[in-house]
Amino acid sequence: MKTVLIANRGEIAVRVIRTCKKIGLRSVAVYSESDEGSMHTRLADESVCIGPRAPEKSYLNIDGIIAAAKAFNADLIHPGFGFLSENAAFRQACDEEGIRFIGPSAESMILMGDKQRARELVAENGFPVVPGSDGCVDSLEDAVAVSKRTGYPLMIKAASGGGGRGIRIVKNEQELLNSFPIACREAEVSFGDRRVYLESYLPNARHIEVQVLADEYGNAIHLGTRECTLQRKNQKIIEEAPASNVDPAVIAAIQDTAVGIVRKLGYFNAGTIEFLLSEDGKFYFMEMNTRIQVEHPVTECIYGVDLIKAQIHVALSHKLSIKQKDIVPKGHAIECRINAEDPARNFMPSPGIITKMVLPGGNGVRVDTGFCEGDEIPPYYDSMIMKIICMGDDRLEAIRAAGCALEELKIEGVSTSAAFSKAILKDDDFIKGRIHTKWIEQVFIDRFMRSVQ
Amino acid sequence: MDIETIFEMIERAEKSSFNKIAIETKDVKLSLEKTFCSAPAPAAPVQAANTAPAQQAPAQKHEHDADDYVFAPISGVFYVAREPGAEPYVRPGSAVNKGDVLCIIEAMKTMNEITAPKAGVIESVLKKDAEAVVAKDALFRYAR
Repeated sequence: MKTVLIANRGEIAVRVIRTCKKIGLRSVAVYSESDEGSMHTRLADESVCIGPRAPEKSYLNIDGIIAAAKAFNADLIHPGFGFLSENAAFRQACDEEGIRFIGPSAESMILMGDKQRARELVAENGFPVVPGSDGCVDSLEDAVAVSKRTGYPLMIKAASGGGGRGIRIVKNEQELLNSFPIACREAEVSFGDRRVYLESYLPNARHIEVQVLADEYGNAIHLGTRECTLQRKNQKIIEEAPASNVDPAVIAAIQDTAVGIVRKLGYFNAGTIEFLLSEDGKFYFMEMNTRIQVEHPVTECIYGVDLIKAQIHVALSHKLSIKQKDIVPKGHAIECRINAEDPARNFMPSPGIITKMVLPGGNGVRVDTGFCEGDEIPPYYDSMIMKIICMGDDRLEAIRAAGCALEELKIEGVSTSAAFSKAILKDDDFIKGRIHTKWIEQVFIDRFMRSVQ
Repeated sequence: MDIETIFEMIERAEKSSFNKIAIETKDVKLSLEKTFCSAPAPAAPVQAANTAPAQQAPAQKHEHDADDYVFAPISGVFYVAREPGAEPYVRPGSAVNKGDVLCIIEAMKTMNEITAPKAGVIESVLKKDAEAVVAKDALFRYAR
């Protein structure tokens, strides 16, 4: 029996452990001192403390995790998302110890981790990228020169950013002059890399991404699109599969582009390619995430696949068992992330003990969480308590199902974002698909605040 | 382990620099943990980021009442400055205006600025930099 060590915590660790159990693998959980006794440690076959509460001393502690993996004879390591999931040095450390890392090659991680280099590579191969600078922009003069060509608004993006971090929007030359030096300095402080590049800011665009899956033998498939347009501060709130109200020809082109990029890279394992869809129906490559994503369950629901299982199979050097022509999506799925934060108080974090928790259920309702009643949500990690994923035959049914599920959900002891998500699900703009990536911030928050006052 | 030994350990632990001591033998599991905050947590719910609930004064500091304290609105990690090595926002003796930033509490990857609930002079900083704090812990005390 093979052993999988899960180098993560909370909901995604629980998610991976469940698949390990299902397919007959032994699971080893790791935890920090503040996560002692938490759900992922209770469910795993074995668990081991890897350090104090601070992430850099526990869930980001490569030496500690590798030592734990060796102590428990782990054959594989699943990194989950966040923490070390896109850290090429961690992958290399696994390789050196002969432990299979459940993810892509170190080369793919490094290449796609450099957001500017990835953009350049994608453009070189004839795929569409958001108009902007060719390569990085070193000086203010160069930045101004780019702006003459592209116009405003522009985004200054950190090459080592990604995931919505390290981005500044400038609306005119004066703002560019002011923000450019600050952006470089911020990039250096945040990512240890001061390189930035420029991209046109596309107003009213939608965020559409494609789930891809590939093996080490050059077989690559896509599992359709997800719409992740609803974001606050670049963090996704509600995700759907598939993206709806998009010309089927455009969807097909986006999917083909995603698979094309995967083939060009020689990428293997699961990954996500993110695109922006502009108002005029044009799509552009934004970035690739070389890991499993938070919102993967919506894809699993409509395609009937277990993406974690697929990841493990690829990591064990198996060939993909599914072919593109054999997979057909069915229905529509919506995921609501429930965070421990108070929307009415500017989304202030709300760590604490869950004194009461009643979960929704029933046909087509899936709850992925790493907590149960009585558990503490510590302040040291992210605020996601759970994901509620609901299915319907079509989008409207899925929206209604999600609304019912949130109605059934009861959480006490900490504030949650559930009421905020519930209000979105009832909003006419959302139901009719009149949304864009800044809709929450520019339109909906005011609407929500008025409704709660 | 007899009761005297335990008292002896508590006494010694109090004087030591350790915050937490855990001992486990065959039949005894003992865990000692120090709390640094002398002001008891107020019972009333915290209403907003920086309102100290009007509660009775901590018993041993009878010259102060709850109004003189700034309480943590959330659990997290307490920081005296914007970034490591930077000047602390306030020191004992600093005069502050209502709304001035006093410290940062990092919770769930967000840096939450904790602001002064009223104007006055900060008499003492009750937590150490990078110390874990629990919601409703007293963080600062104003001079009377």
